[in-house]
Amino acid sequence: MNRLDPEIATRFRSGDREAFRLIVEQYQNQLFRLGLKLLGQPAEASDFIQDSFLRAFERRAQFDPGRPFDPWLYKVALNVGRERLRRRRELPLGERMPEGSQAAEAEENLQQQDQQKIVREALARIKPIYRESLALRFESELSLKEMARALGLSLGTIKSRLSRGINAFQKAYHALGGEAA
Amino acid sequence: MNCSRAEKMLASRALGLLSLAQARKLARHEENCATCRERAAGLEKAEQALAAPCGLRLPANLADRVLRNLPASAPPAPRRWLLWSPVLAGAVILLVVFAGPFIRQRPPDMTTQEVLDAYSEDIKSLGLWESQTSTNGNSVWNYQDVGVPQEISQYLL
Repeated sequence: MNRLDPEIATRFRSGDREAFRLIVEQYQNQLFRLGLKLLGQPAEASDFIQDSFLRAFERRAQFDPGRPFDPWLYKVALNVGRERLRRRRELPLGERMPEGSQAAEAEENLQQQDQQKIVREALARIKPIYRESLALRFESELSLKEMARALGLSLGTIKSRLSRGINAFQKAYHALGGEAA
Repeated sequence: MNCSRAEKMLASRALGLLSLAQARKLARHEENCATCRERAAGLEKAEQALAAPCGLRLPANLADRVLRNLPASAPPAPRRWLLWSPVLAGAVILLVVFAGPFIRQRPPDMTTQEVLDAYSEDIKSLGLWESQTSTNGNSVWNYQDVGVPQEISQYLL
């Protein structure tokens, strides 16, 4: 598990920009994938990570250096994601802006990209509370306890949401033909 | 184990939350239950799809962009209690206005003896001790009686 060096976290809290750069570099991939799962669109995920990092820097004084950094950062990011979902009132995936060019597509075969679009569409069809639980489970390295803290839920609730979430996702994924491909 | 229980455990297994002992029990149930095997296969595919790489690259130079967007001199994080300060100030004013008459008590005038005790050192150094010890200790002290003008005495006990 690749956790942040506590010394960097402390420097970040005091406003050290170099420490902040190290944090961005360490967490940008995880937050990008989290944003993709939460919001569905690469362009939105790109804006999401920038907003999340900027928000984290603005609110750095609220970070307790005596506690792990990751759950705090994910909590900030999830709040940014929730605000974005609220703003767009959860429009169906097809009605949102087209795939952006900000995130260049990797050199992977078309079939895999199509599968990932189906994954994102299936995630968009399930309840946001299930989506964010699954996104955290698959894209962060948080333990269940840390996930519960980041989401402000009890351990039992997070387990229940994960279980219901993966069942709901499986049905949506199946309905979209995900399993057949 | 019935299918309802197995169904819950199948989801847990797909999420990596099942203990080894539970996984063994579930496997035994699956050996004899085609429905649960089918469910398990569907959940396994779902788990693989969720865990697969997203196939997209991050925007180039993201860290530079984020740092460029930071305010030139980052403002200190807001202190939450400041947001409540107008409310607290109002509460204090209301408390003083409404509860003041009930809680404010003027201290009683000091007797001569109390003043003499409080300022005994000073009075001795001024050479006033002898002249005042003969006065009635229970009478109200008056600085003017010992030659201290009122402009000064108003700041004394």
